[in-house]
Amino acid sequence: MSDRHDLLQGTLELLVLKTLSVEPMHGWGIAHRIEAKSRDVFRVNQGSLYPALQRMKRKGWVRSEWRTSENNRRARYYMLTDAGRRQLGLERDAWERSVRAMGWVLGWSGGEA
Amino acid sequence: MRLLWEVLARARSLVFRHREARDLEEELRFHVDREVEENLRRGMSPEAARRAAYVAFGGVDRWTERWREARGVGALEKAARDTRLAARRLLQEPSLALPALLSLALGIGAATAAFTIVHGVLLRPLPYPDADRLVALGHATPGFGVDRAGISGGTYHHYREGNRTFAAMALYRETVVSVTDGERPERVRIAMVTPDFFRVMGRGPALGRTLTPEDATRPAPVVISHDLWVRRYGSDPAVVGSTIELDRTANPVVGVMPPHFAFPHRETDVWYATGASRDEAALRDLYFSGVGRLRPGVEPGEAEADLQTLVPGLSNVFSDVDPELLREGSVRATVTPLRTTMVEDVRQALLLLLWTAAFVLVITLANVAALFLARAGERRREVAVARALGATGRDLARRFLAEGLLLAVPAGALGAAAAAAGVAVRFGFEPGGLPRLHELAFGGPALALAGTLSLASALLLAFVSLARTRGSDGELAAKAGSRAAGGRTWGRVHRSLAGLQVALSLALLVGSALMLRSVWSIARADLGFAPAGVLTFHLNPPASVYQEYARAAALHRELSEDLRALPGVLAAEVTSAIPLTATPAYFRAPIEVVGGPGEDRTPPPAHLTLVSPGYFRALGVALRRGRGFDETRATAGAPPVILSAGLARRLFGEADPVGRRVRLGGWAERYPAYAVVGVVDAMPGETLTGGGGDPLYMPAVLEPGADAALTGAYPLVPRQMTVVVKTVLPPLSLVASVRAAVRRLDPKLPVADVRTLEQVVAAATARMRLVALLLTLSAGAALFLGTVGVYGVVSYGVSRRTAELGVRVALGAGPGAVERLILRQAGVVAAGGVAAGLVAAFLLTRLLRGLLFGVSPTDPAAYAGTSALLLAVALLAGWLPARRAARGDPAAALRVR
Repeated sequence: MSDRHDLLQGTLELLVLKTLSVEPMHGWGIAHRIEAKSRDVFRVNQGSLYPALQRMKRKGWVRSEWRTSENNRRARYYMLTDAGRRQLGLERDAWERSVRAMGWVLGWSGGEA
Repeated sequence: MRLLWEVLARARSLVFRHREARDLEEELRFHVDREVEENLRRGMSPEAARRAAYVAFGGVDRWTERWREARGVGALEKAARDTRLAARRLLQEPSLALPALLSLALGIGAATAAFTIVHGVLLRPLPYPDADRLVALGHATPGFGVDRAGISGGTYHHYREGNRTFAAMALYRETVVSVTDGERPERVRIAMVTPDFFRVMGRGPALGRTLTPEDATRPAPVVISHDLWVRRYGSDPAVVGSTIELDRTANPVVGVMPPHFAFPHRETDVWYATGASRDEAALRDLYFSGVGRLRPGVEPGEAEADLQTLVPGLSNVFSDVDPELLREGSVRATVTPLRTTMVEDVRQALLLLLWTAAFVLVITLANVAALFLARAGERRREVAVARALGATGRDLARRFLAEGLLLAVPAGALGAAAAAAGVAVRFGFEPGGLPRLHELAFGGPALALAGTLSLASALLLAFVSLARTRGSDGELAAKAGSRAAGGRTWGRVHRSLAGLQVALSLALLVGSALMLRSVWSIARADLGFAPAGVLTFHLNPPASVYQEYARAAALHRELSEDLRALPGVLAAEVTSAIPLTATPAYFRAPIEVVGGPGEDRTPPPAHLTLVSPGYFRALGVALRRGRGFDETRATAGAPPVILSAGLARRLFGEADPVGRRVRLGGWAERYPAYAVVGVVDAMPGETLTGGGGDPLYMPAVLEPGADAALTGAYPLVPRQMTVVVKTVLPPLSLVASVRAAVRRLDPKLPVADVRTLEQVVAAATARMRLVALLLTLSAGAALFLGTVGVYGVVSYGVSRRTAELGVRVALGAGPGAVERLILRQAGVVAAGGVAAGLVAAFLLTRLLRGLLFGVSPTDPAAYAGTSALLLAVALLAGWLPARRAARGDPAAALRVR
């Protein structure tokens, strides 16, 4: 992961929102999915993930409920709320704007990430 | 709307902390397990899989630290938040916080109070300039049977001229005189001093001047104390230049000393000069006390050696001294730091106080530490969650420290306030009950101690909490049901703390038991006399008026007759000293048997006491052999004496002493041999524990025209005497009549030291009773805390083993078996504590030597009895949680993970 913390925090929340937009998932699943989808570029740290999930819960973007997991154990599953869906859209737009701007700065003809 | 939602969410998480914490723990555990599964699927070995998962999990700290930095939480904000969290945590558990606070306050308060006293009395320098240079001078003449003697005038001059180690030297002698001008005659303490006395002490006058060598004249110019100046002259500066009438002689007042100049006695009110003429004194008139100021850099030992080189030269100073005599008496000069001489008789008691307070402090610290240990064990889960949420070790340390400080600082403040309050009331001591009592102050050192103890307590508690919850993050990954990993070691620590409390409690209990036995023994002791219904007072007819023997004798005789005529009075007698009062050094002399060695090789010291014929009858002292002084006549040419039983035994063993001869030695050698005419029951001398020698009674010859040979035969004359009045009425009701009787005979003679004999006995036991009270209170507190400690450790042990016990019960163990199993734990702690406690008790009670009466410091009954009591109490304390566990529902126990 990069060393730039503000980018890190915002990135993680965006990744989590995206992941949860596909299907409800427990914490480990979210981390694993992000690692897989990013082809191991992004390794999600538990120490960041759970605080992030808490924050997002507090802000009302996700909610949680206890279910039985794929290996028959109790686990807490997270799912997007409507507010969360809206937030995903907003953050995605913001991200794309940042990337475009970076591209202009670096002289890189932008495209989508 | 969003804001409301956030606030509600925060509130909810506050309220449902515990459940949320549990949920999060379960979630995180799931995460780790799932990671392990994944690692296994990838082909790692089980250990590697687990290790990898843990490692990934353990990387939390670094990230969270940087996360925090990014958030920019300032140190002050952190401290405020930690304090808030700590406060909330403590308030949630009043059953932990309140006892901890009170215990700490007790321990810190006791330690601070004890320190204030010890510091003020023993450690702080005397209130004179360069007080560590001040020393007391004297002699030891063991060859004459006297351990502590003073200095004579000639010796003083000899030392003063020949020494190389002293900046200044002075002599003083104390006595009591009457101030006879004004409406109210009053007795004051007066000190006769050599003129450089004030130079030695290093203090000048507040008004006027101090004394010069020219002042050694009659009538003597005097310097008065600040206290006397305020009391009798209303702080009028005109007192300087006026006169004061002392024992009917007018003396010019030349100066007033500043406040708190209280040497040689805290009540010394007048100083006047003496030349301490070298010609008139003999070596053996060691009646002065000496004080000196050492040169800078000189140690007392050096000065002592220096003076010792001058001792042989004394044979040139005095005509009646030869080197033979000096060697026979083993005359030795002594130089002792002044502060030591002033406080040495309380030193032992104060050390005892300090150790007792230290024990109480350690007990309270152990108690609170054990409390925190138990709670910390239960907080491992909470701590693990906190770590998972990003708390670093340092964060946790700060939070625990905040908790510790939040408890220890108010406790320290409370304790310090209590100690300060104690100082304000002088801890209830009578003036003179403790040396330097008026100098006691609650100041910087005491505050520093209280502060240090608070800080140390806070650190201890934080350390205990932190150490107990260390490595808790591994806990989450451990299997369900193994609560408190590493709990076995900590269980042992917890039990050791309880054992420590038990040990120290036992020591205090033993000390208390011994002291209570002493107090009880004294109350029931056969003192040898009957103190009930006796009034005593002291008369000091001035030597200037009552020069002749006959005049003083007549006064006492007439007074006794007048008193006997009062209604309700059974007897009125006189004595030179009643039992249990301090007397000057020249009331003691060695005594030996004439014609053959006595039972003791070295002549024992005898306490010389004059008594009138009816004295023994008045005090209910039984005559064992021979007769009393009813007829004061010489027996076969030798003046009569009566021995106390103790002295008779020491001199003659079991043989009958009546008819035998004895004579005094040492300084009293010049007096003739005496004939023993009787033996009386043992009465205490100066102290109840027997210091100062057994009494030797000599008759106070009061009849007119008494045999002249008799009146000069004894070293003491009946001038300064204590009168004892035996009555059927309440003794104090006679005081007015007594004063009137004295006034009729001599209007200017004050009546002093009016007390009942029972009050005298009570005063003699006062210190003993005070120490008993101190030890009993401490022991009571210690017992309570120790019991709580044992209860706590057993409770905690039970709660840890709930599942195991549930299994046992389910497998058929009866409640009795379960109880016994748990009680065994309590028993082990108690037994270990008692064993260690016996050692501690043995060491502590060595400080009680000299304070005990009728019981030895190693009295087996006291040790056995208190051990049994403590064991019983500890087992009872363990029994309650044991019973609760045995009655518990096994199914519920098994369900608890």
